[in-house]
Amino acid sequence: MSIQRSDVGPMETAGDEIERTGEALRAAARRLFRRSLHIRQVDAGSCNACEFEVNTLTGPLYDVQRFGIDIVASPRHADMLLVTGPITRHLRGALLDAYAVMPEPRLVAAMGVCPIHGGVFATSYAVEGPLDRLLPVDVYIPGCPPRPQAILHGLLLALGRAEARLVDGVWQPSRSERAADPAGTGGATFPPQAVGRRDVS
Amino acid sequence: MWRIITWAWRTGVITAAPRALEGPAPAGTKGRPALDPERCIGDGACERACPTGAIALGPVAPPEHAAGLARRPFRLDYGACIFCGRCAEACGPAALRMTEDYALSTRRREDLVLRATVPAVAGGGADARPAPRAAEETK
Repeated sequence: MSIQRSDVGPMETAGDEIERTGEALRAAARRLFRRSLHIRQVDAGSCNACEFEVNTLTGPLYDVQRFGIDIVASPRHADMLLVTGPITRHLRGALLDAYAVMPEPRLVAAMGVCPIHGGVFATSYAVEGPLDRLLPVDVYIPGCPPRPQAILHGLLLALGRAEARLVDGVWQPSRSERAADPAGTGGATFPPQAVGRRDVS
Repeated sequence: MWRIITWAWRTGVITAAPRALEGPAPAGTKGRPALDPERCIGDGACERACPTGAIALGPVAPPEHAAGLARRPFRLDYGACIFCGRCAEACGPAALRMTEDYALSTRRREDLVLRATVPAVAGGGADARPAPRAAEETK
């Protein structure tokens, strides 16, 4: 009795397997860093608005340390690289060096519009970004700059401790909104006749 | 010294609770712009007003299409949007409006892109404009 091709399921390519292995590795990294994440913040040509927001994270109001997250002084001590700014030509090498010396497993977060897309600097001759051309990005934190709560949401999302609010550009109801409205009739803000939101007309 | 201690005691805990992530944002917070495809007339005013090229409308339909039937794709990239609100100001029928949703983090780049289909204006007057400044697509 021989094993037919149809018995072992659809043909898998090497790409699929690498994809699955990569996803399993990332899940393992999320589990590993769940209660303890050290971040190295790298300015790759930022206007410093994002840095101010990162500064407020460690203050008493947002207090990121209570989640086990801290900001460290060297990429050699870090689990996550938090990149701000469009990647300029001059800082591309420094960014790649910082990534290279990080211990495995490591996460990369793109914070602000600049490393995600380029934003207002997108067409500049001096910009090498967006970041996902250079490094594998684990979490995208958009905003110009993102509020400290938005950064916190992004970090917790990277650790698997928060849910994504945006899927395919559509705003998702939060856990508490779903609990209040299980049918999902008015939980989302899209289309805009949602509960508890101002309408413009 | 005693005054400082009593002052600190009266102030209490000011740290924001994690559930503040889900609560309402303070008044005046600029979040993501949301699109109502029912109200949109597809004239491309938002696309011309956008400083980063986050909004992109597809080509208008050829003129043989009957007015009101032609549709064009609408693409809004929250990864490029800086929440300036110019699109909402430029939008005549108030189809685009600024919301207070700010926690937009995602794990996939594609999740940041809103795609919709909107009506195309008859005549295609917006078609003669130059390409948007940030025409380079990331995906």
